[in-house]
Amino acid sequence: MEPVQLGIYKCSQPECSIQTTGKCVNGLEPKDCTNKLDIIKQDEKTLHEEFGSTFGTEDVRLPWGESYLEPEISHLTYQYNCRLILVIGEPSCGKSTLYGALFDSFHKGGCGKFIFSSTKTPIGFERICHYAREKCKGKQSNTERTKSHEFTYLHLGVRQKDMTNETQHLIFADVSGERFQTAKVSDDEMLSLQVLKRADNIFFLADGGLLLDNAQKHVVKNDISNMITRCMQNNMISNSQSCALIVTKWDEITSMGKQADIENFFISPILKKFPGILNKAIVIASRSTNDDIPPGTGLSEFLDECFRDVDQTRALNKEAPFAREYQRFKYEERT
Amino acid sequence: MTNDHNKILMLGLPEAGKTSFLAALVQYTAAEIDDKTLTQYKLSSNTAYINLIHETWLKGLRQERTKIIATQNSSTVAELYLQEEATGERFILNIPDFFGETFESQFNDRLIGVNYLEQIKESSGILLFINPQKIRQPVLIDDISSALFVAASMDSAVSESGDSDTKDQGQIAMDNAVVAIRPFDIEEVPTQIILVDLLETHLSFLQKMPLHVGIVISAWDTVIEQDSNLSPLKWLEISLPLLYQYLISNFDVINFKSFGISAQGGDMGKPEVARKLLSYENPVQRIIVHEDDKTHKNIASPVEWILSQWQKRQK
Repeated sequence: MEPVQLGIYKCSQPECSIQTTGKCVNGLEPKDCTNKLDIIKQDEKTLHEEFGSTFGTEDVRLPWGESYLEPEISHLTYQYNCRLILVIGEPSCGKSTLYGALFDSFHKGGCGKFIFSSTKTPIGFERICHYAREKCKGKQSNTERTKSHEFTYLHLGVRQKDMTNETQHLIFADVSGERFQTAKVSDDEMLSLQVLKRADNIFFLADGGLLLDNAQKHVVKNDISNMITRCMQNNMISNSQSCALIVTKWDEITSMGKQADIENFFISPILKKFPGILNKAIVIASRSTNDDIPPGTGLSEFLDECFRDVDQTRALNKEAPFAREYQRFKYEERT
Repeated sequence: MTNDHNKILMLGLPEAGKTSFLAALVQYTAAEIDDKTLTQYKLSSNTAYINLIHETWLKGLRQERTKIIATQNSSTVAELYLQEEATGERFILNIPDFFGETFESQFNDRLIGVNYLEQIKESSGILLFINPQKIRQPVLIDDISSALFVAASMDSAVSESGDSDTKDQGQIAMDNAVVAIRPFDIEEVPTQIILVDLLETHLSFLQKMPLHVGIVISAWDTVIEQDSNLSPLKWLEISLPLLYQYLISNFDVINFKSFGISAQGGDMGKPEVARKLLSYENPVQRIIVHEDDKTHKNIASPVEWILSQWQKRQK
């Protein structure tokens, strides 16, 4: 096999070592890496030779279509008045499945009162949907994208079916569960998560499947409680932000007839513990094998909540001041 | 009487029906037909490509892939000198026939040619071709959950029937499935995602809004075989809901109209269909156009619609 020349390739994934080792973050050759869109040859002429130029000799690079990285996010926030949505939860608690199911709902014809309007990250969404679908099949992998990035952002533009307002733009922060796992136990780590302060909506996500397990349910409750407490302790969330609790896998909970138990053990106590912080609890079944709980249950409520307290006249104003605030923000570097 | 250039771009993934449409359009504009709104008043200076696809269409043969024809011809641009019968207005219609792989790789490789960008800026509108038989539908999380639920139910039924060997094999298959996650493959992205992205790209480079888009659902004969009452717009809503939502919700920047078109009138691969279609005295009779709940033979109607929208804007 011909050796890969070092320094020729580069990758948009910050942790990828392709430039220095010739192998991608998953240990694959550039031609074998499934994230081939992220990997480019630094010499544009060579790039054309490899992928083939179909239009002509001079090509213009289009936006990647993948999830945005932090330095790229200003391209969006300059263009649109966006709301930043953050879903926090433990690793493998179902964040990706939630995003995947939300995007899937538009593949079927809309989500609640909203219809699809645009996305600048179609490949990013399809990638996350793909892994969510694979996970549904019970497959496991350590090589998925979410774990190779700390922060990536997905863009979704939606419009109300009645067309009474302009397209509203959401940016979903896709943050690795591991990062929040460490933040939950350390003030320093928590303070480095400036994304919390910038988010318009924060959702604390609990794995409903684990809440059904007597050996796990106390841990889940404790984790969520600690996370919110540490956020508050470090002034990372404020009353101006909209926060809510999400319980996933509601279909499994319903199948076992445990709705009241989960309500009494988890939902009510957590809401009572953080009055003024948590607005509400949303139960979600991204997928469902329970005939009484339609797949996608709770997704429209989740989307509605993303627009809680949004002044529609403000949404119509393209010059809203917070669009400029995003442009200035910069997450603190981890030390 | 004015003499103006109008450029209409044809977009579509491979085998979407672009070349067949163009060939039938050439036939329509050249043919002697009553009540025609557009007529050809002059032949273009180079008709090698047009003649080739036109002849193929007349013979009822399957069009060679444009990619193959392009390697044998220097130009795959159709240049039609047209006159609007009602007003006498003359214009030159330029329709470059890009091969479908161009658009597929635009999505996959995220590159667009400088020359093509110029064409976008100069265009009066777009004809977006969709072949109902070439749609890659998404496999949704629901679909997988339902399939697994059915599989589990069947396993359970087998188990209850006491067929332990079959159950064991089913269990082994399930266990094997847990082994590895399949990597994401961009070439499996659903068709509607690619089409939305193509339109987004065109919108982002367009200098004048709105973008006029004629949605041409090709091989319409195959759709009406299943449901003769279906309108092109309804088909779009049912078959490509994400694209439909995109078009509806961007009404302020995209002005679209849908057409169901069968340029050949049927599957020429079936001898009995081919015999019937080729027996028409006037080949235009083969054409099926479904527009506004009406069926007619005017294959130029998507072009006429774009030009009318363009003219409205000019006024």
